[in-house]
Amino acid sequence: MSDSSTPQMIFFIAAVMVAASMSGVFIGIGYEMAQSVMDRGEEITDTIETRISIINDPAMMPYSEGVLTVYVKNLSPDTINKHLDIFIDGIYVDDVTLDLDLNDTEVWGPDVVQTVWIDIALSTGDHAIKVVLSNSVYDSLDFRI
Amino acid sequence: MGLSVSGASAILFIAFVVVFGSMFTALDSYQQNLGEAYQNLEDTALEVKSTSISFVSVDAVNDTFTIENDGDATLITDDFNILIDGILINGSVFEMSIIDNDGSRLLLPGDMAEISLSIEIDNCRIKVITGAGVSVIYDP
Repeated sequence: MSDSSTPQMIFFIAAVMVAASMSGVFIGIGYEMAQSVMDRGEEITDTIETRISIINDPAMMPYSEGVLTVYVKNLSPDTINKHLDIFIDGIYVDDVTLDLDLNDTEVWGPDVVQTVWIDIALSTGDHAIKVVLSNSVYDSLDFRI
Repeated sequence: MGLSVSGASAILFIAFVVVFGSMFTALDSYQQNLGEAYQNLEDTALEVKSTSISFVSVDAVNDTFTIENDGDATLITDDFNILIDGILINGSVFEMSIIDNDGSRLLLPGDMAEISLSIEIDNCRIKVITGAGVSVIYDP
């Protein structure tokens, strides 16, 4: 009796162990996939809902002593990352100061205007500015100095 | 042998159910988030399309001007921004009151709002921006 039950017991334990290992892998992969799907959904939702607008008057851009002042308003229903990438006439500008002090807040909430000071030498005439958020949402404005 | 197969099958079946459950929850959440986002996008587009404001008068002597909500959307005056000669002015420089509804924050369709400023606006370009980003410019 014991001679025939021992191999069966070994088969049973081996089968259960293999099945449990495979289940662990399946559950792990399934969980990762589910998490990725949810993260991707949140990213897409974030991109769809995010909206910013450069509210400057294109005919009266504040520009003095080599500093261009740009006002960017958050038109999204939620707070957004206040980091901005600035392109002027298609060229990336890194000498930029961002400020939310005008609204007494450090969070870029809905309807809050962020002031951006850009150190750049601009000639008189037509120019274009593009403001890009970290999630690739952007707004652009053609203006005249 | 039969018990081994049954046991292994049961374990794999449970794993399949768990994976299916988590994937179903994730896809449901994905679809729900996207649905809400597109609904918000549609609402915003509709709000922008139905928002319109215009200048009624500008009194450069008393540094006041009047705007009218001639769109179909109700506007919240707290969300307004004003640029005078391209410079954004903050809330301490101007006061906004709804004509015939003093103290209200809502600019209903057809309502007019008087904005009094503590800075001179004589010969200044004025730009008013609503919460939805719709703007109007007064050019003297």
